[in-house]
Amino acid sequence: MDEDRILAEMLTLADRLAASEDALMAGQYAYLRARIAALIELRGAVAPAA
Amino acid sequence: MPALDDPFVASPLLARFAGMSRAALEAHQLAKVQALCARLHARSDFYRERMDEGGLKGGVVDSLDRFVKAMPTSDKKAFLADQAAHPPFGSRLGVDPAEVVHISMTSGTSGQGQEMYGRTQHDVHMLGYLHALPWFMAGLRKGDIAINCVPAGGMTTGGWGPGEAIRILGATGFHVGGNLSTEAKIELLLKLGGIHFIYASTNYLHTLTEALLARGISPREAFPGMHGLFIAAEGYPVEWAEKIEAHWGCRLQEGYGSTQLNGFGASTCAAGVHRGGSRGLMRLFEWEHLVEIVDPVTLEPVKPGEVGEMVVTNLSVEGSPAVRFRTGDAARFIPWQEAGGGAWNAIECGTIGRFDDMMKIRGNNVWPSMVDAAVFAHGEIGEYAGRIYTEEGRTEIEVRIAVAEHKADLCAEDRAQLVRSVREAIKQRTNVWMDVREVPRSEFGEFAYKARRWTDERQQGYRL
Repeated sequence: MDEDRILAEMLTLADRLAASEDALMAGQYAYLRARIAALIELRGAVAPAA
Repeated sequence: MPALDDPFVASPLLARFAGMSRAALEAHQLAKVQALCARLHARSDFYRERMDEGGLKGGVVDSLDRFVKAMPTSDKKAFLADQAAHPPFGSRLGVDPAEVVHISMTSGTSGQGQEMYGRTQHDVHMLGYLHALPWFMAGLRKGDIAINCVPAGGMTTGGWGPGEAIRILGATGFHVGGNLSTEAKIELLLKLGGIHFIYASTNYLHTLTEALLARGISPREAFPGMHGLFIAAEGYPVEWAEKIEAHWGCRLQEGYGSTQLNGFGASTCAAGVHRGGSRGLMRLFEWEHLVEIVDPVTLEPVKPGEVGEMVVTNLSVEGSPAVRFRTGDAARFIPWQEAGGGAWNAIECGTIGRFDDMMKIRGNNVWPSMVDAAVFAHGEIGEYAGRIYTEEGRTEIEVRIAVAEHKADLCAEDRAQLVRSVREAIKQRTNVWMDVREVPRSEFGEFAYKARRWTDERQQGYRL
C-alpha cells in the first residue's frame, strides 16, 4: 500500500473541504487538514509552507 | 524480565528511520533546516535578524555545518525579552497568530519567567506524536490501559502531550496526575483490575512504588499485566532502576523531553535504562530534532563521553519553533558509532542535569542528580532534602534522609549504619563530605512531578 500517495490525495481533498463557507465546519476542516499534513510530515516529508 | 516486541518490526516507518545511514539522516535534517530557515526568514523578525547577523542571507542554508556555525544560538533570556517586546508570543512565532490553537508555557521554576509557545493544529498533532513515538517503542499499544501520573492539562507541554499520545496509539488513558492523592491513585489502580503502562516522573514512580510497598502490595503481583514503565525529568542510580524493575516485573524506559522539543527528543526505545549494571542510552530522534551537545562556554561540540549542554532545533514545529536553542540541560554525549547500531546519536540515561542547578561547593561542581544517585542507591530511603548554608564563613551542607515507610521496622543500629553509608556514597560521587542525618518520613511531603529537593541559603549567611 502506498501510504504516502493516499495521504497526499487526502490532503488535496482536505484542502477542498477547507474552502467551505460554513463557519461551524471551517475549524473542524482545518483540524482535519492539519492532522493529515502532520502525518505526511512525520513520515519524512519536508512540510509545505503553513 | 519479558522482552518487548521489537517496535522496528511492528512499524515499517520506524524501521525506515532506524535503517537510515548517517549521510541520509543528515541530508534529511538539512532539507528540514532549509525549509525552516526559509520560512522563518520570511515570517519571523526575531529569527530573520539572527540569520542576517550570522551571515545566512535570505535564510539560505547550504550545509548543516554552515548552519551550526553561522546561526546564533538563542536562549530563555532572549525568548523572554522577545515576548516582552512583542506580546504575547514574540516575533519568533513564525506563523499567523490566527493559526495558534494551543499555548505551551514553561513552568517558571527557574525564576526568570515563563516562555510562551504558540502552537498550530499541526503542532498539536506533533505534540501527541512526539509523546506517542517513545511510548510505542516502549510497548504501549491499542487496548492497553495507560496510567499518566504527570499532572494533566494546564498550559504545559507535559500537560497535554500524554493525552494526545495515548489517543493516537489507541490505548485507554487514565490521567491521574495532579488530581488524585497517591492513596486515591492506588485505590483506582486496584479497582481497574489490570493496568499495562505507567508514565511518571522519576520521583513520582519512586513515591508510588514506596506507597504500594508500605501497604504490603507487591506491584508485580497486583498488576501482572504491566509491561511498561516510562519515566522522565530526573536522574536516578542504576541500582534504583534495577529494584524498580524487580518490584514491577517489567522494563523501565526513559525519555528526554521539553517544551522546546514539543514533546520527547530521545528515549531508550525498547532497550531499557540499564545494560548489565551500567547505564543505558537514550537514542535521539534526530529526524525530528537537530540536537547539538556543546561545551557551555565555548559552544564547541563536546567529545564522545563528555557532558555538554543540549542545543536544539525543531525540524517539524510550525509555531514558536526553537532554533539552536540553548536548553541549559546537561547530558553525556554518546556518538552513534558507539551506541550499538543505527545512525542516531545518544545520551546517557539517568544523568540529565541542569547547568543552572549546578552547585559550586568547596570548589567542586555538584549536581543534585549526583546526590540523588548516592542517596537512592539505598533502597531503605524514601525521600531526602539538601540544604546549603553558611556558618561562621564556612559553607556547610546538610542532607536529611527519611527511611521509607515499608522499611519502618529498621532497628537503630541499621539506621545509624544507613546514615554512614549514605554519607560515604555522597562523598564518593561528589567529592564533598556532607552532614547526613535521619529525620521522620513525615517531614517530607510528596512531589507530584519534578522534585525540588535542594535549597541554597548561602547568601543569607552574608547578611549584616
